[in-house]
Amino acid sequence: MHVGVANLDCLWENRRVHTGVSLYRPYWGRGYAGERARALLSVTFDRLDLDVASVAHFEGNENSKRQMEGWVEDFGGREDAYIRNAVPRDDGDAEPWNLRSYSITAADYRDAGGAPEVELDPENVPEPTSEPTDLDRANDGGDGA
Amino acid sequence: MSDLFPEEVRTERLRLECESVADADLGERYASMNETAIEDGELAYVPIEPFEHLQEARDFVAQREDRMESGDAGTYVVRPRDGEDGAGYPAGEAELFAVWDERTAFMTFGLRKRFWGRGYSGERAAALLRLAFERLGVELVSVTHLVGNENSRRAIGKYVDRFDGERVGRFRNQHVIDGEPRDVVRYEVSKADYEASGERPDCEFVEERADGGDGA
Repeated sequence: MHVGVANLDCLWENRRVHTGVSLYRPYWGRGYAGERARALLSVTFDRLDLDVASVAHFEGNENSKRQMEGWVEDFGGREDAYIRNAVPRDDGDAEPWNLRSYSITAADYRDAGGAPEVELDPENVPEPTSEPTDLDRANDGGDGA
Repeated sequence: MSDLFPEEVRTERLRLECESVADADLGERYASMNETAIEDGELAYVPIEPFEHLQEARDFVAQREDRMESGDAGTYVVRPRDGEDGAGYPAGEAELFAVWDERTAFMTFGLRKRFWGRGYSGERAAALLRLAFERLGVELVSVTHLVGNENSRRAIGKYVDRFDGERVGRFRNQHVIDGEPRDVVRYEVSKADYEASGERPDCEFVEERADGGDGA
């Protein structure tokens, strides 16, 4: 089974990744999002050697805000901005979502000691793609282990 | 031509004119932005290269014409009006892009070096903010500059203050210029900010340009 979907979108030219996660409700509150974040930061900085990891949550999503602020602070990152009308909602029929965004640099990550507990499988390197993760497709294909 | 964006915007000292390949003087556009016309440091903060030949000037105008035709952008060449030093010269490029499903718009602007320091950026921005809020009906207009671009920072800071907007933050590695990732600073003016400021920029929207582009 799987409990959610994590994504790591690489903007190679920008030397930046954008990460996100969605967990099914029964698995909220277990710290999985933060544990996943540490792993993806290790991929970003220890393997891909990129410079910045960014992440954002919808304003009003207090669960995401709490977990995100926790690990962003642990790794010396910062809040970058509060962006109004950042994401369309209902094809433009409803008020757009506001976003709060954060970032962590490679230097922040190293100064914080990195994520030594994370093991990266040398046989299983993530495939580079410029396409954002297709969350719907990933959810539909929910038959993995 | 789209009804949303007027073909011309006139301010006290500037004309903002939409362009088409058919009507534009491509030789004039090429001469104003080829290698010899560009001064040192002039393009340091903009993702534009000097034109190498006339075809690049044509492509440039064609792309801008397409954006105007799409109905999602007001795309204008900026010319100082009669009485200004350099009147009629293609002094800059101004665009207002609407993102309808976000109910927002954003502006871009580039101005040739000899016209810097005259307050043209603020004059153009004020007119396009009025266009965005009073005509397009968007909720918010944003603008960014690259970190280190002090001229843009000053110009933007001034008009964002005038319209009660705010600096919302700095984004790391947001744009890539000459292969280098660069940070940008973002500002926003909301419709509420614009209305609270009490400012009503002095400008005129001209729906159809009758003179084919040689008027003042």
